[in-house]
Amino acid sequence: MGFSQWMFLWTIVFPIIVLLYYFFRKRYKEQEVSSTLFWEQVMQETNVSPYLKHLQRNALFYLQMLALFLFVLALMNPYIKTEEITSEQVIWIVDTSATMLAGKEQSTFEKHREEMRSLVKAIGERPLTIITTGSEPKAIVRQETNVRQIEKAIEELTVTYEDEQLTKAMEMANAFVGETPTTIYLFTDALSRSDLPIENDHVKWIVKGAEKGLKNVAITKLAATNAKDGTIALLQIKNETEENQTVRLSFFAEEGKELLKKTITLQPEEEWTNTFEGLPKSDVLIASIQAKDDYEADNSLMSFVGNDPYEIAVGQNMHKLVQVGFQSLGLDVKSVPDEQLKSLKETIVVTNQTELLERNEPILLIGRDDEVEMEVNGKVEVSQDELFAFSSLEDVYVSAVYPPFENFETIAKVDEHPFIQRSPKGDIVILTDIEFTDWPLNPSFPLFLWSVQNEMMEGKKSLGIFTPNEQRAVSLVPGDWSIYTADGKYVFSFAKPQEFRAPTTPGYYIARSEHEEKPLIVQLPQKERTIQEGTSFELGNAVSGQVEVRNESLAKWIALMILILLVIEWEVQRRYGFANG
Amino acid sequence: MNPFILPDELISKIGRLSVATSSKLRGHHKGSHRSFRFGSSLDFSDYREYAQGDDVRQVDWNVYARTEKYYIKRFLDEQEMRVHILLDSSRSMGEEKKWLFARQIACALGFMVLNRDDRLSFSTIEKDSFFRRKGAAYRKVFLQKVTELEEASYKGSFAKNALMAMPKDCTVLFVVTDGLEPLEEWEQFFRKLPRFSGDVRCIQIATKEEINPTYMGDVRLIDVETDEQLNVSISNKVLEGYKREREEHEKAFRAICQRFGIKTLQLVAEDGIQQAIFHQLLTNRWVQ
Repeated sequence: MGFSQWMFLWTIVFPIIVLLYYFFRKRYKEQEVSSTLFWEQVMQETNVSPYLKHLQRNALFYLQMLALFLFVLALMNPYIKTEEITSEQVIWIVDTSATMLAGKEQSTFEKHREEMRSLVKAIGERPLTIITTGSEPKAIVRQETNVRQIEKAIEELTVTYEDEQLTKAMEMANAFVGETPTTIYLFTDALSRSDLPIENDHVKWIVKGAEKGLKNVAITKLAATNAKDGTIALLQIKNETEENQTVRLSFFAEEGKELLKKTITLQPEEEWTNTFEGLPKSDVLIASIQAKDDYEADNSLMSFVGNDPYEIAVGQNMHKLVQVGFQSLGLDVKSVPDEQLKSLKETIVVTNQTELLERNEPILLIGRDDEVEMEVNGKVEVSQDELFAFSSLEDVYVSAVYPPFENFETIAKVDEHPFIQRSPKGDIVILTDIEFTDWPLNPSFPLFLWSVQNEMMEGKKSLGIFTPNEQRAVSLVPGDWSIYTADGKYVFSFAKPQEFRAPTTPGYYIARSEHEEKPLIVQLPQKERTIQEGTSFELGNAVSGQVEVRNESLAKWIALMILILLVIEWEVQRRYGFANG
Repeated sequence: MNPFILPDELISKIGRLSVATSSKLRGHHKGSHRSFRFGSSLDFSDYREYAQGDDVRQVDWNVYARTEKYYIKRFLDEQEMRVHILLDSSRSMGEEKKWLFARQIACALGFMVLNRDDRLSFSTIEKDSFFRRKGAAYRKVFLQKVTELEEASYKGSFAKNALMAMPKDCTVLFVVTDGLEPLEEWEQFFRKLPRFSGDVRCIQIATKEEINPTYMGDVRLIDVETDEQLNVSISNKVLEGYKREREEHEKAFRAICQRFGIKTLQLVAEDGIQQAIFHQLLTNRWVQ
């Protein structure tokens, strides 16, 4: 013999309660009276109508009959048909990006978590897979049917602040779909219908978005550099609402000292840019705003303060315009013969020699000397990257590009071919020659160069700026490194700088070894600094022509009613005795 | 100390009282009550002309000597009064104070009757409880008998069974009861009472606890008479209902009595026998 529902063992409490109640029930004092004549009349007077009187007199009988009928009913195991989810498996894709923290009273993420809890019951016996988003989507629950496991997984979901990269998660979900009719729930904030892959006709998409009308004011850009009379900072704040917003802006140094305070009023949809000069010197500058918006995480931004620029060495065979570009920024540039470039130290090297990529320090590679270019024709598309924070490449014309490096991250494309790439080490590769483009004539070119030198120099004094959970090789001496937060809390340790992964929560961190310490900043990606109008919709049909009916048993509810009836019966018996006729 | 339930001083006090009645139904025996019939007492009534058939011995010869006409001299008759006391000895009377009080009332009334040389009969509804005596000589016997009734133990309805123990032709009939039986039974009972007597009086005895119950909370009430049990959670509302019910019962009870020409009087046991006799019975002209 075995029991299939051990979890209902808890109902043992009921008989125990009744037993205890029986022992400690109120007992009647006995009282002899000359006659109970009047008392009887008083008690009978409570039921005025004869129908009620009849009911009361036979209460025990009726209650017992009812209980017995319910018992019969329970044995017949009644159920109600539910047809809500019609598929053989369910996949949830849970967006864990920072924008999910936006929300009026409750963040979108918490709202979705509640929705998930209630959905678990509707899923029933079908296997459930939960995929979290990020640059590496994870399946935290695979084809699970155990409700407890699923509930546990739901409770453990946290926001990872990463860019959601829903496409990757959807690809992963598709791998799970196979030939099985599937319902895919997408818990995100905003998604357009066209972003959904509709290759499979047996997949039903249900997109649960954020609520509508969320307000957001965000700091979108911050750059800072040291000048003679203090730090110069460039700041951009964006008001994404339809109304005027008054925000309080403050600048802080890394140890929390307030450097500047200002109140700003922003027009609807305004992008407000301003330069602040003469700020006290500090290594890190933190800008933060206090605004009445629904999204907290993008209200502050940090930046390393650029130091005195390093020397920049431009290969002799590079186009003159490159040197001119750097010079226009007021940077110290020298032209160095190609063969000497290899031996230079503490210098940013600009060249077209692919072999120099093996240098320890990052280089700026413009063109390739080991490949042949091919013609392209089209617009330049840039991804969200810090390098393009101040430069727009929209009007740039490119006529030919070199073949890309395979393992490098592409940050700009032209005509679907990689145009600008970044190596894991931090090299920047522009896959074209200056002759093939009109970019140097564009004002965005020097700004881009400035960004490049800024990024490369940051790598010298600090580990640089990371997005949450970003995996990137860092130029550190291999050894025991530990990451601490700004106020000294230990976060984690790592040994291999090539496999460094940034912390999850945005903020200022310090990487420490025995001999050295280098600061790093974890910052929300640009895309996470803006919130879109929430969307919720359903698309597709999980199973065509076949309606799956799920039966939900009512037996346990009937059991509960019988239990209540028993208690009532007992009370009736206690009050009126068995026969009150 | 006297062995009876009536204190000595009360015995001497009630010796001066007698039962007052306007009933004309009398016994045939001689007694101390003046009758409206003519008889052989020493009290002169009037003269009447002799008619044929009259007793020749009653002719007043002195008047004949003066007037040469035959006159008959008539005297008032003195007749006995018959009083019956019916004491409810059902268990509902058994409560200590109530039972004592009821017996005291019965004793006092009986004592008054015997003290006047009248005929007293007394009964409860128990078998072998009948007592019938005449004359002051039996006062102590009667007191003794009532005192010996130690508990009211009759199990059953008083109103249904009381008729069996009743003598006919009483001048005054006292019914001492608590009235705690259904009204229909009382109606049946009282309907028949005028056959037994021309002057029926019902003394209804109540206790303070009955009028105003002091117990509260969850109580299992046990009817001493029927052993019926009733669980009542007594609250103020229920108490109010009880009092209302009781009052209605009494009102209806009195109405029934009135319909059959029966006088009623409610006595509260806690007030004491002294107060009952010298205040309530006297002011209601039940005794004089």
